[in-house]
Amino acid sequence: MSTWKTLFLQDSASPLMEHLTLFHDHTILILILITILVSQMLLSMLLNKLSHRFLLEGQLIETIWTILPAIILILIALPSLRLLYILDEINNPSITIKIIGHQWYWSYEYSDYKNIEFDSYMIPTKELNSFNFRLLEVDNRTPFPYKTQIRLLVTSADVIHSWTVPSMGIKIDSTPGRLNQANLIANRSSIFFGQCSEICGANHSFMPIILESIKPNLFLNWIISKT
Amino acid sequence: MSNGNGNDKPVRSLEDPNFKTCLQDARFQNQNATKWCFTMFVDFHKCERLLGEGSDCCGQFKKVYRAICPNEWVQKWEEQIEEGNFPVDLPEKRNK
Repeated sequence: MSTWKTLFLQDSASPLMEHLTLFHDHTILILILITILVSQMLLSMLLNKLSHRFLLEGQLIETIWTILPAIILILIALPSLRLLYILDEINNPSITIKIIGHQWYWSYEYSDYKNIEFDSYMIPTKELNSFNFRLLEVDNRTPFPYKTQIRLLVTSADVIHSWTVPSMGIKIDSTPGRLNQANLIANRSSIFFGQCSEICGANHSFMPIILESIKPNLFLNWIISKT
Repeated sequence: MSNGNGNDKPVRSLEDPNFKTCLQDARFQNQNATKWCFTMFVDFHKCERLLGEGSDCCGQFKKVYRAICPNEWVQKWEEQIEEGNFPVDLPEKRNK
Protein backbone atom coordinates (compact mmCIF):
# COMPACT_ATOMS: atom_id res chain seq x y z
CA MET A 1 0.00 0.00 0.00
CA SER A 2 0.93 3.63 -0.25
CA THR A 3 2.27 5.16 2.94
CA TRP A 4 3.88 8.47 3.82
CA LYS A 5 6.72 9.51 1.53
CA THR A 6 5.80 6.95 -1.12
CA LEU A 7 6.94 8.95 -4.12
CA PHE A 8 7.14 6.18 -6.68
CA LEU A 9 5.12 3.11 -7.57
CA GLN A 10 3.97 0.76 -4.87
CA ASP A 11 5.64 -2.62 -4.41
CA SER A 12 4.30 -4.88 -7.10
CA ALA A 13 2.54 -8.10 -6.28
CA SER A 14 1.66 -9.36 -9.74
CA PRO A 15 3.70 -10.19 -12.83
CA LEU A 16 1.89 -7.48 -14.77
CA MET A 17 2.76 -4.80 -12.25
CA GLU A 18 6.34 -6.08 -12.33
CA HIS A 19 6.39 -5.35 -16.06
CA LEU A 20 4.75 -1.97 -15.56
CA THR A 21 7.37 -1.03 -12.97
CA LEU A 22 10.20 -2.03 -15.31
CA PHE A 23 8.65 0.00 -18.11
CA HIS A 24 8.20 2.97 -15.80
CA ASP A 25 11.86 2.85 -14.75
CA HIS A 26 13.00 2.49 -18.36
CA THR A 27 10.98 5.51 -19.45
CA ILE A 28 11.95 7.63 -16.45
CA LEU A 29 15.62 6.96 -17.19
CA ILE A 30 15.20 8.26 -20.75
CA LEU A 31 13.25 11.28 -19.47
CA ILE A 32 15.95 12.16 -16.94
CA LEU A 33 18.69 11.93 -19.59
CA ILE A 34 16.72 14.19 -21.95
CA THR A 35 15.99 16.70 -19.19
CA ILE A 36 19.64 16.88 -18.18
CA LEU A 37 20.78 17.27 -21.79
CA VAL A 38 18.29 20.03 -22.54
CA SER A 39 18.95 21.96 -19.34
CA GLN A 40 22.67 21.73 -19.93
CA MET A 41 22.14 23.16 -23.44
CA LEU A 42 19.92 25.95 -22.15
CA LEU A 43 22.37 26.86 -19.44
CA SER A 44 25.36 26.93 -21.75
CA MET A 45 23.40 29.06 -24.24
CA LEU A 46 22.54 31.55 -21.53
CA LEU A 47 25.92 31.73 -19.95
CA ASN A 48 28.43 31.70 -22.82
CA LYS A 49 29.61 34.72 -24.77
CA LEU A 50 30.49 32.91 -27.98
CA SER A 51 29.14 34.30 -31.25
CA HIS A 52 29.44 33.14 -34.81
CA ARG A 53 28.44 35.75 -37.42
CA PHE A 54 28.25 33.39 -40.39
CA LEU A 55 26.56 30.35 -38.82
CA LEU A 56 23.50 29.41 -40.92
CA GLU A 57 23.27 25.64 -40.88
CA GLY A 58 24.99 22.53 -39.59
CA GLN A 59 23.86 19.57 -41.70
CA LEU A 60 25.37 16.88 -39.53
CA ILE A 61 24.02 18.04 -36.16
CA GLU A 62 20.60 18.71 -37.71
CA THR A 63 20.41 15.19 -39.08
CA ILE A 64 21.41 13.77 -35.73
CA TRP A 65 18.89 15.77 -33.71
CA THR A 66 16.10 14.84 -36.08
CA ILE A 67 16.76 11.12 -36.12
CA LEU A 68 17.76 10.68 -32.48
CA PRO A 69 14.36 11.74 -31.00
CA ALA A 70 12.64 9.36 -33.44
CA ILE A 71 14.78 6.50 -32.21
CA ILE A 72 14.12 7.46 -28.58
CA LEU A 73 10.37 7.50 -29.26
CA ILE A 74 10.58 4.04 -30.78
CA LEU A 75 12.50 2.83 -27.72
CA ILE A 76 9.59 4.00 -25.57
CA ALA A 77 6.73 3.02 -27.89
CA LEU A 78 7.69 -0.58 -28.57
CA PRO A 79 7.85 -1.80 -24.96
CA SER A 80 4.75 0.26 -24.23
CA LEU A 81 2.73 -1.44 -26.98
CA ARG A 82 4.05 -4.82 -25.94
CA LEU A 83 2.84 -4.18 -22.40
CA LEU A 84 -0.51 -2.91 -23.61
CA TYR A 85 -1.21 -6.21 -25.34
CA ILE A 86 0.15 -8.30 -22.48
CA LEU A 87 -2.22 -6.51 -20.10
CA ASP A 88 -5.16 -7.42 -22.33
CA GLU A 89 -4.38 -11.11 -22.37
CA ILE A 90 -6.57 -13.48 -20.38
CA ASN A 91 -5.81 -17.18 -20.59
CA ASN A 92 -7.81 -19.84 -18.91
CA PRO A 93 -8.94 -18.16 -15.69
CA SER A 94 -10.05 -20.26 -12.70
CA ILE A 95 -12.47 -17.82 -11.16
CA THR A 96 -14.55 -14.92 -12.35
CA ILE A 97 -15.19 -12.04 -10.00
CA LYS A 98 -17.82 -9.50 -10.95
CA ILE A 99 -17.32 -6.04 -9.53
CA ILE A 100 -20.13 -3.52 -9.57
CA GLY A 101 -19.58 0.11 -8.66
CA HIS A 102 -22.31 1.93 -6.78
CA GLN A 103 -22.62 5.37 -5.27
CA TRP A 104 -20.68 4.91 -2.97
CA TYR A 105 -19.56 1.36 -2.41
CA TRP A 106 -18.39 -1.63 -4.38
CA SER A 107 -20.32 -4.85 -4.59
CA TYR A 108 -18.81 -8.17 -5.59
CA GLU A 109 -20.32 -11.29 -7.11
CA TYR A 110 -18.74 -14.73 -7.27
CA SER A 111 -21.09 -16.96 -9.21
CA ASP A 112 -18.98 -19.77 -10.66
CA TYR A 113 -20.21 -22.31 -8.17
CA LYS A 114 -22.53 -20.76 -5.67
CA ASN A 115 -23.94 -17.34 -6.14
CA ILE A 116 -22.09 -15.25 -3.59
CA GLU A 117 -22.86 -11.54 -3.43
CA PHE A 118 -21.68 -8.95 -0.96
CA ASP A 119 -21.24 -5.20 -0.63
CA SER A 120 -18.03 -3.63 0.55
CA TYR A 121 -18.48 -0.36 2.45
CA MET A 122 -15.79 1.79 4.01
CA ILE A 123 -15.57 1.65 7.80
CA PRO A 124 -16.13 5.17 9.16
CA THR A 125 -13.28 6.72 11.14
CA LYS A 126 -15.21 6.60 14.43
CA GLU A 127 -15.54 2.82 14.26
CA LEU A 128 -11.91 2.08 13.39
CA ASN A 129 -9.58 0.07 15.58
CA SER A 130 -6.23 1.63 16.41
CA PHE A 131 -4.44 -0.68 13.95
CA ASN A 132 -6.77 0.04 11.01
CA PHE A 133 -6.05 2.40 8.14
CA ARG A 134 -8.29 5.44 8.00
CA LEU A 135 -10.41 5.76 4.82
CA LEU A 136 -9.03 2.46 3.52
CA GLU A 137 -10.67 -0.18 5.69
CA VAL A 138 -13.82 -1.90 4.42
CA ASP A 139 -16.36 -4.12 6.15
CA ASN A 140 -16.17 -6.95 3.61
CA ARG A 141 -12.78 -7.65 2.07
CA THR A 142 -12.55 -9.33 -1.31
CA PRO A 143 -10.79 -12.68 -0.98
CA PHE A 144 -9.15 -14.44 -3.90
CA PRO A 145 -6.55 -17.22 -4.24
CA TYR A 146 -2.97 -16.26 -5.07
CA LYS A 147 -1.02 -17.64 -8.06
CA THR A 148 -4.32 -18.21 -9.81
CA GLN A 149 -5.65 -16.54 -12.93
CA ILE A 150 -8.73 -14.54 -12.14
CA ARG A 151 -11.06 -12.82 -14.56
CA LEU A 152 -12.42 -9.52 -13.33
CA LEU A 153 -15.56 -8.12 -14.89
CA VAL A 154 -16.21 -4.55 -13.90
CA THR A 155 -19.40 -2.60 -14.38
CA SER A 156 -21.39 0.07 -12.63
CA ALA A 157 -24.96 0.50 -11.50
CA ASP A 158 -25.07 4.30 -11.61
CA VAL A 159 -22.21 6.59 -12.68
CA ILE A 160 -18.70 5.88 -13.91
CA HIS A 161 -16.34 4.61 -11.23
CA SER A 162 -12.86 3.19 -11.62
CA TRP A 163 -11.72 0.07 -9.81
CA THR A 164 -8.04 0.49 -8.97
CA VAL A 165 -5.49 -1.56 -7.10
CA PRO A 166 -2.03 -0.06 -7.76
CA SER A 167 0.10 -2.94 -6.50
CA MET A 168 -1.73 -5.35 -8.81
CA GLY A 169 -1.38 -3.04 -11.80
CA ILE A 170 -5.12 -2.76 -12.29
CA LYS A 171 -7.09 0.35 -13.06
CA ILE A 172 -10.27 -0.34 -14.92
CA ASP A 173 -13.26 1.90 -15.50
CA SER A 174 -16.60 0.68 -14.29
CA THR A 175 -19.10 2.04 -16.75
CA PRO A 176 -22.87 1.63 -16.51
CA GLY A 177 -24.19 -0.71 -19.22
CA ARG A 178 -20.77 -2.06 -20.11
CA LEU A 179 -18.76 -5.00 -18.82
CA ASN A 180 -15.01 -4.49 -18.74
CA GLN A 181 -12.78 -7.50 -18.51
CA ALA A 182 -9.41 -7.56 -16.74
CA ASN A 183 -6.92 -10.03 -15.49
CA LEU A 184 -5.73 -10.51 -11.91
CA ILE A 185 -2.91 -12.66 -10.57
CA ALA A 186 -1.21 -12.22 -7.22
CA ASN A 187 2.31 -13.49 -6.58
CA ARG A 188 1.90 -13.78 -2.84
CA SER A 189 -0.60 -13.72 -0.04
CA SER A 190 -1.23 -10.24 1.23
CA ILE A 191 -3.76 -7.47 1.52
CA PHE A 192 -3.91 -4.94 -1.27
CA PHE A 193 -5.53 -1.55 -1.01
CA GLY A 194 -7.13 0.57 -3.67
CA GLN A 195 -9.55 3.41 -4.11
CA CYS A 196 -12.10 4.56 -6.65
CA SER A 197 -10.26 6.53 -9.32
CA GLU A 198 -12.98 8.29 -11.22
CA ILE A 199 -14.77 11.23 -9.62
CA CYS A 200 -18.17 9.71 -8.95
CA GLY A 201 -19.88 12.11 -6.58
CA ALA A 202 -19.78 13.36 -3.01
CA ASN A 203 -18.38 10.21 -1.42
CA HIS A 204 -15.92 9.36 -4.19
CA SER A 205 -13.06 9.32 -1.67
CA PHE A 206 -14.90 7.00 0.65
CA MET A 207 -15.28 3.83 -1.40
CA PRO A 208 -11.97 2.01 -0.91
CA ILE A 209 -11.11 -1.49 -2.13
CA ILE A 210 -9.40 -4.22 -0.14
CA LEU A 211 -8.23 -7.34 -1.90
CA GLU A 212 -7.09 -10.23 0.24
CA SER A 213 -5.05 -12.88 -1.56
CA ILE A 214 -5.14 -16.16 0.31
CA LYS A 215 -4.15 -19.78 -0.14
CA PRO A 216 -6.33 -21.50 -2.76
CA ASN A 217 -7.70 -24.10 -0.34
CA LEU A 218 -8.56 -21.42 2.21
CA PHE A 219 -10.39 -19.61 -0.55
CA LEU A 220 -12.30 -22.79 -1.33
CA ASN A 221 -13.21 -23.12 2.34
CA TRP A 222 -14.51 -19.57 2.22
CA ILE A 223 -16.62 -20.35 -0.86
CA ILE A 224 -17.98 -23.49 0.75
CA SER A 225 -18.70 -21.75 4.06
CA LYS A 226 -20.85 -19.16 2.26
CA THR A 227 -24.42 -20.25 1.88
CA MET B 1 -26.69 -25.08 -4.69
CA SER B 2 -26.78 -25.70 -8.39
CA ASN B 3 -23.80 -24.68 -10.46
CA GLY B 4 -25.82 -24.42 -13.63
CA ASN B 5 -24.53 -27.71 -14.93
CA GLY B 6 -26.99 -29.78 -12.98
CA ASN B 7 -24.00 -31.20 -11.14
CA ASP B 8 -24.13 -30.82 -7.37
CA LYS B 9 -21.00 -32.68 -6.28
CA PRO B 10 -18.86 -30.86 -3.68
CA VAL B 11 -15.78 -29.07 -5.00
CA ARG B 12 -12.33 -30.33 -3.93
CA SER B 13 -9.93 -27.94 -5.62
CA LEU B 14 -9.74 -24.92 -7.88
CA GLU B 15 -8.89 -27.25 -10.76
CA ASP B 16 -12.17 -29.10 -10.26
CA PRO B 17 -14.06 -28.86 -13.56
CA ASN B 18 -17.28 -28.25 -11.63
CA PHE B 19 -15.76 -25.17 -10.12
CA LYS B 20 -13.74 -23.76 -13.02
CA THR B 21 -15.16 -20.66 -14.56
CA CYS B 22 -15.95 -20.47 -18.27
CA LEU B 23 -13.07 -20.32 -20.75
CA GLN B 24 -12.42 -17.35 -22.99
CA ASP B 25 -14.64 -17.41 -26.06
CA ALA B 26 -12.77 -16.94 -29.34
CA ARG B 27 -15.69 -14.91 -30.70
CA PHE B 28 -15.47 -12.36 -27.89
CA GLN B 29 -11.88 -11.32 -27.42
CA ASN B 30 -12.44 -7.71 -26.51
CA GLN B 31 -11.92 -6.14 -23.16
CA ASN B 32 -15.55 -5.12 -23.51
CA ALA B 33 -17.45 -8.26 -22.55
CA THR B 34 -20.95 -6.77 -22.68
CA LYS B 35 -21.91 -8.46 -25.91
CA TRP B 36 -20.49 -11.79 -24.80
CA CYS B 37 -22.74 -11.77 -21.74
CA PHE B 38 -25.84 -10.74 -23.69
CA THR B 39 -25.27 -13.26 -26.48
CA MET B 40 -24.87 -16.08 -23.99
CA PHE B 41 -28.07 -15.08 -22.21
CA VAL B 42 -30.01 -14.97 -25.47
CA ASP B 43 -28.49 -18.25 -26.66
CA PHE B 44 -29.52 -19.95 -23.45
CA HIS B 45 -33.13 -18.87 -23.81
CA LYS B 46 -33.20 -19.76 -27.51
CA CYS B 47 -31.71 -23.14 -26.66
CA GLU B 48 -34.23 -23.83 -23.91
CA ARG B 49 -37.13 -22.93 -26.16
CA LEU B 50 -35.88 -25.11 -28.99
CA LEU B 51 -34.76 -28.13 -26.96
CA GLY B 52 -37.18 -27.89 -24.08
CA GLU B 53 -36.64 -26.53 -20.57
CA GLY B 54 -33.93 -28.15 -18.49
CA SER B 55 -32.15 -29.59 -21.52
CA ASP B 56 -28.57 -30.64 -20.73
CA CYS B 57 -27.23 -29.01 -23.89
CA CYS B 58 -28.22 -25.56 -22.67
CA GLY B 59 -26.29 -25.92 -19.40
CA GLN B 60 -23.09 -24.59 -20.94
CA PHE B 61 -24.77 -21.34 -22.01
CA LYS B 62 -26.22 -20.95 -18.55
CA LYS B 63 -22.87 -21.60 -16.92
CA VAL B 64 -21.24 -18.89 -19.05
CA TYR B 65 -23.88 -16.22 -18.61
CA ARG B 66 -24.14 -16.91 -14.89
CA ALA B 67 -20.37 -16.59 -14.57
CA ILE B 68 -20.01 -13.35 -16.50
CA CYS B 69 -23.29 -11.41 -16.39
CA PRO B 70 -23.99 -9.20 -13.37
CA ASN B 71 -26.94 -10.69 -11.50
CA GLU B 72 -28.81 -7.41 -11.76
CA TRP B 73 -28.72 -7.54 -15.56
CA VAL B 74 -29.92 -11.13 -15.66
CA GLN B 75 -32.80 -10.24 -13.35
CA LYS B 76 -33.77 -7.30 -15.54
CA TRP B 77 -33.70 -9.37 -18.73
CA GLU B 78 -35.68 -12.18 -17.18
CA GLU B 79 -38.33 -9.68 -16.15
CA GLN B 80 -38.38 -8.33 -19.69
CA ILE B 81 -38.85 -11.82 -21.12
CA GLU B 82 -41.75 -12.39 -18.73
CA GLU B 83 -43.36 -9.09 -19.63
CA GLY B 84 -42.75 -9.68 -23.32
CA ASN B 85 -40.61 -6.60 -23.97
CA PHE B 86 -37.22 -8.29 -24.32
CA PRO B 87 -35.43 -6.67 -27.30
CA VAL B 88 -34.63 -9.99 -29.03
CA ASP B 89 -37.19 -12.25 -30.73
CA LEU B 90 -37.13 -15.62 -29.01
CA PRO B 91 -38.69 -18.72 -30.56
CA GLU B 92 -42.06 -19.93 -29.24
CA LYS B 93 -41.91 -22.07 -26.10
CA ARG B 94 -42.01 -25.75 -26.96
CA ASN B 95 -44.94 -27.62 -25.50
CA LYS B 96 -43.93 -30.90 -23.99
